[in-house]
Amino acid sequence: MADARTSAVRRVRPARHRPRARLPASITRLIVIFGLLGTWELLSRRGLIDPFTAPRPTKIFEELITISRGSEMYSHLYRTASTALISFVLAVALGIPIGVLLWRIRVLGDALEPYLLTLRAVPTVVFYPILLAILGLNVGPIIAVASVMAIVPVIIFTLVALRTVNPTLLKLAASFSMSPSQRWRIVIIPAATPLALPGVKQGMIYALLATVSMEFILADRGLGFRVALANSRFEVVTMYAYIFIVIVISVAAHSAISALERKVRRDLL
Amino acid sequence: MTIAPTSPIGGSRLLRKSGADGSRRLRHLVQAAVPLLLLLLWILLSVRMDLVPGVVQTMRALASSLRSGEISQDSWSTLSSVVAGFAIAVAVGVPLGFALGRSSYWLKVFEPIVAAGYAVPRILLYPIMLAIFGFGIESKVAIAFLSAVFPILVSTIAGARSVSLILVKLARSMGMSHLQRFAKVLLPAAIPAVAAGLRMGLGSSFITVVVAEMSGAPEGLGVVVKKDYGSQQLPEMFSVILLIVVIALAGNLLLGLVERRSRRHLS
Repeated sequence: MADARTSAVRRVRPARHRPRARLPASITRLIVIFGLLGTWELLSRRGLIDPFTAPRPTKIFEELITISRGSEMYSHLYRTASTALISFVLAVALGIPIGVLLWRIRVLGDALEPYLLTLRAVPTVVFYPILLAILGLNVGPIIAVASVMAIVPVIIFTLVALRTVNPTLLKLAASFSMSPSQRWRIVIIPAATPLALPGVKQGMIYALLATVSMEFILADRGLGFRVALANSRFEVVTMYAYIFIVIVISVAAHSAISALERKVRRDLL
Repeated sequence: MTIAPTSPIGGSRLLRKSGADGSRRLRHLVQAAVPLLLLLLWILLSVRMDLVPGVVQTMRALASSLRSGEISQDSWSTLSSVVAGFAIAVAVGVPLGFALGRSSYWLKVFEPIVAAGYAVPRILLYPIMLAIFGFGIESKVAIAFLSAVFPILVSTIAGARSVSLILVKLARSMGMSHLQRFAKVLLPAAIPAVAAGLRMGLGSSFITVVVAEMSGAPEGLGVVVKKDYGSQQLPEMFSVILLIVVIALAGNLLLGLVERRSRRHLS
């Protein structure tokens, strides 16, 4: 019995501590990505992938260069980026004060929290016909849907972050007889920001996601609209190129806010 | 790019009980006021604007479409594609998330890729799914899968990483097998994060499927909304919108029940 146990330990431990010669993670990642692209290219050239399903990566790349020389892409890009940004800014500018309010008025926070959590499950997008009726056929409905979808995580994370602030810190602030502005600046904001930031990040992802989805079904401009248009015209290569542009933008926005998050967390902790 | 928890972990905090009796009564009052206020808003809008259908009209339209059963095929199409895509996403995302969460090297390799997939609006891939799988239900299942799998992965990874190293070491020193360690230590400790990911995944796949239907799938609730909007049958349209919201809320509720069950069962 004891023998079996020690042998089990001996069997597990060396496997754990065996030094492994491995490539740096970034290199492996590049190998994975370019391996997939290369396989795709090769299969396409052999005629094993239908070009109407997925054109060759090199063709998409050529199309990207053509698109980047023209002016059309930039107008769609500008529309999508500005719509998403406005919705995101609205969501943060309203969401954080609402989160603070729900924290200060505890009954309200406790009462509305279940609603907020379920609101994340509601497909807000389906209300667009009603919003069209109320706000008219312009970017209004898109901004409304995108900011509603973005504001929910901002409120929830702000509320939870504030509730998580250590009560001892608040008592300490009181015993130093700090003014309200000092209390916020020195104690509450530094303590709550690291926990609230993931909500802001999620808000940004949702703002972009809702903007592009709405453009995909109803807009007359924007990257989501352009993908749908290329699809309806059977311009497969152009469609892939625009999808690639959206991917680049979302990744760039996500990286930017992640970098900000890291910076803020380092400064505050 | 880093993977952050998708939801404030420690959902139990959110459900803590409020103390005094008076404040609880006030809380229930506020909670009861919310649906009433929404109803009031709806009535107000429908009175002021011709394009917003009235409450009674909408309910009548809902009742008649439910009775005649004309909507059942579309509901079934939407529901089955969401459920199938979500189930595949759970079957792929949870094990993969645990595997990545427990291996720091492979996490470093795939983290930016997963985070990118999480950040990209997946609806844009629907035309590609149509090209690959055709106009049947398969393309909707595929887009539901793609929408659900990334939030599930991100949350599961965060959950698996949050499991204290001491617990894992303890389990190993007790001579637990891989499977035992997973079932007895990792899974129970990661459940709140995984559950948050499942909720996001379900919501996200539902939205994407409905948007895909609005953008040109052959059948489904999104198709009905778009068709009714086109022919300006507004009460019918709004009744379908309400139905979509109710289904989404029911799905969310069901997941919450499953979560509470599994938490009690495992811990």
